[in-house]
Amino acid sequence: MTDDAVHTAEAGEGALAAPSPVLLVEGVSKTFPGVRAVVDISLEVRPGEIRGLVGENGSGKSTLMRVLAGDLVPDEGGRVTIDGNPLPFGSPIVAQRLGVGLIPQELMIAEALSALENVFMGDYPKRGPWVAWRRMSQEFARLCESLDVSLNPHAVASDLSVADLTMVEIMRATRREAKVLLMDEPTAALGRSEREKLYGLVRRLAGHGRTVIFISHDLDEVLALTDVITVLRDGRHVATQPASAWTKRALVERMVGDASVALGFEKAPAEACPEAAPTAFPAAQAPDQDVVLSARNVTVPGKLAGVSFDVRRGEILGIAGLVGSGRSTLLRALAGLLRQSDGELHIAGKPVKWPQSSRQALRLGIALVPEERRREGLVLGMPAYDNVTITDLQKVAHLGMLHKTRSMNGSEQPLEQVGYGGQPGTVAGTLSGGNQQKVLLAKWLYAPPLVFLIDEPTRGIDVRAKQEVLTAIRQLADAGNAVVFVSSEFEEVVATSDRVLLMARDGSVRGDLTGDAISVDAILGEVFAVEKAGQQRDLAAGGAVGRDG
Amino acid sequence: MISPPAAQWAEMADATADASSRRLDTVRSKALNLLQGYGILLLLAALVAAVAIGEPAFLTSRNLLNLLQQWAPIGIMAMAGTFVMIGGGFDLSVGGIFVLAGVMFAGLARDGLFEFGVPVALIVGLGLGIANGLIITRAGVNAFIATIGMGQVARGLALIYSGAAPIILTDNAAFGVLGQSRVGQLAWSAVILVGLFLIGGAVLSRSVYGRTVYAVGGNPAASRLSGIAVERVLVGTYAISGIAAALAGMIFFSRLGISQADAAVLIEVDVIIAIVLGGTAVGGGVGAMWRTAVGVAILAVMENGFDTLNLGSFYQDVIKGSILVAAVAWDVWSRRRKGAAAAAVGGTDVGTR
Ligand SMILES: Nc1ncnc2c1ncn2[C@@H]1O[C@H](COP(=O)(O)OP(=O)(O)OP(=O)(O)O)[C@@H](O)[C@H]1O
Ligand SMILES: [Mg+2]
Repeated sequence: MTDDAVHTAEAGEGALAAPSPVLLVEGVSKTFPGVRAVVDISLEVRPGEIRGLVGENGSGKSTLMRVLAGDLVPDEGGRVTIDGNPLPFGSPIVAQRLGVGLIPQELMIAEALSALENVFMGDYPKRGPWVAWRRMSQEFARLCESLDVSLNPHAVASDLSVADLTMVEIMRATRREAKVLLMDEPTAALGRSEREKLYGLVRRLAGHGRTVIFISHDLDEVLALTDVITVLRDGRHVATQPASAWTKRALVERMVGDASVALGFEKAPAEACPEAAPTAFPAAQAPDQDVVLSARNVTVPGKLAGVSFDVRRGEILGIAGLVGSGRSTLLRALAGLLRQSDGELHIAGKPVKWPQSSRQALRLGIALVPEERRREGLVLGMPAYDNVTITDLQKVAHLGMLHKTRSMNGSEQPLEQVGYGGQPGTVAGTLSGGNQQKVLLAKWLYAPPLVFLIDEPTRGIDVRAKQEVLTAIRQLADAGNAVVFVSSEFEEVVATSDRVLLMARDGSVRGDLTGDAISVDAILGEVFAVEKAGQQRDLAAGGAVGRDG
Repeated sequence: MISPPAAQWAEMADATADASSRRLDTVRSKALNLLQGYGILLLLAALVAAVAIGEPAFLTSRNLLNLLQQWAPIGIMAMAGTFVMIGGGFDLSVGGIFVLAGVMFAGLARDGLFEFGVPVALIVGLGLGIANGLIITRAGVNAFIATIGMGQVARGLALIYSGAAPIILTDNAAFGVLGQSRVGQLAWSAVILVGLFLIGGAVLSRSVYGRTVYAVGGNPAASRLSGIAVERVLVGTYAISGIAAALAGMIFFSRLGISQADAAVLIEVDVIIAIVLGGTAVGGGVGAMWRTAVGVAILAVMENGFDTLNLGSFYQDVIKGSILVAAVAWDVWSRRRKGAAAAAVGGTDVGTR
């Protein structure tokens, strides 16, 4: 009802036609030292609109969002109005008061606090100066219900999964009933069923007259969910059209500014290496001397119940499973990061001690490209080239000394190979999410180990980069390395893997698929058939699958 | 409805076997968690038992009340310092502020301006605390450096003010009230200490301000984007610490009846030891007021024990220093263990997406 009142008020003061914009951006630019991240962008977004925002890595999406949320001060000359009120830049508090809510690309969580306190961070319900815990719990329960999530309010954030933490962020941003909700890649870390819930929420919010700006690299998702889509390229506004007027191809063309780019990763790896599928099959049955790494009975108390598998030279072993099935745990155990893990390990046929530290794992030739790039992958304060060459400084050192030019030259080829779009000298912490991911991969291309463990390499990276990253992974395998690869995008697993290991939520292996048997349907069939037996929750996800299948 | 095929039945049986071994694991890790959470209580109990056995007079109410009175100054500063530390900061200026406030309080009493003593000293403490906060948040000076500098400045001012000579007020009854007066056996300063811990504890754990301090210490960037006035919250913690240091200084020198600018050297280290010993993390976001209370109690009991053993203060320093380092090492170790556990749950990915 209040929404109606707002609408009529707006209609009264505005023109007769469409309601006046709730978010008006005029000529906003943001220059970082050496980078024009956002260049003269103007936007008009109406109440109740879901606006998609797409663009390649580093095209300025997050920067624009951070300006709107009061986190960054833009260059002189721009103007932003929220519902007619000018937005003073650089104050998150005032932006929030005016009704702007942000779900930032990088999770913003206080790890030691409970889910409950993280949701209400900075805005606790109060009675006098005291926190009203009861009211807080009730509101939390209500939020959970409206979002259809089950989350223990007292769970400590450091014990929660990325998907849960994303939900915490979403709950935090939505509970304030922001007029304009900015969602910067909210689905990147979510599984299928969580994604569906989020779509439902976004539609409901829009139905209540709230405005959502939705950023994602999953173009299908953007096309299906949003009303209007804006494309950015190199910080500039390229085009804005109703979603119905866009096609995936058109979006990609405008994003990259080049009509010749292949669309989607399903097709390209097959084109790039047509023999990939045929060779995969014989490879899988090759004699055992080709087995580079053979793990038996990998256990992590409470998480992995005796997983066994082999990886062969030149093979990409995909691991498919639902969020929470222990895929990352398996990789991290192999990489020596989990001290309580155990198992038997053979490298090139020889029994070796189970790695208990990442140094030991690296000495065995096992390298992990972690899921969590900012915390584990990169030295954020160092330039990109140093991040690449750090894996083997001897290689660029001269008489034990490092020289900038030698380091830069050394990093050039690996960075190019993954399609890194930034300057080699840019400090890693200020790179866009996608470019950070590429630096991370380049780092191991520079000093290739025997076995690559790659965890979610395409999370948060754009269409073209995805392609490049997956191609780079294929090249690694073709060069004779063994690759173990985890991704939540089953299509990607299918397109890239020679063999797929299926994991269930209880941390056990359900078997594997080889050669022609690899398909999204087969994976879903296996994964969900097992889950169905126990878990009601996944039935919902099974329904969601129909959309993609 | 659909009966699971035989293979699945077998798996289910496996799963139950797994589950029981898993349960054992969780029992073990729960026990360890409990130890990590409440181990310092055990340590305190063990110390109390040890000292009580060696010196039966230890557990008399007289001795315990005396300890409370003796430790009131450090306790009050540690209480306030807990806010600073949970907010992610560090305050090494409390020693300087403590002395400056004490000397000014005494000087004013000597000059017949006793009634101005308390407010002036408190305002000085508050002001220097706020200055600490502003230097750290606005000027961006590292908290260690800023507060070491401020402590030095305050102690220097105290020396200048007092001409580096002790101000002796043993016969000034009014000056002694704060630190010496009692109701029955109970010293007023002990009452103030306990009262402040109760209030501070409630504010930290239940008030909006207190919870905000945890949020800011836990993740300042997230707090800022959540609309918290991060700088103001942090300045607040240093202000609390400053004013508490002033109060502590007045109580301390009032009890002695003498005020001296070169007294209580390195008292700020005792304050930090008490906080960290309790388990409040250096770096912020984790900790609790009861922990600091236990930390202070451990220090008090230990020192009492040393005294009955006639252990020289040099030995005490060695032991206290070792304890500080051991406490932090223990904290780091247990967090690393927790981190590994979180990784096993697939939840290492906190902080980024
Ligand atoms: N704090 C910063 N300092 C310097 N440069 C920055 C900073 N933040 C972003 N940039 C640069 O601004 C440009 C735009 O980055 P932004 O993060 O907005 O891209 P994006 O469109 O969100 O990309 P992605 O899809 O990878 O998240 C990039 O070139 C990036 O390196
Ligand atoms: Mg971004």
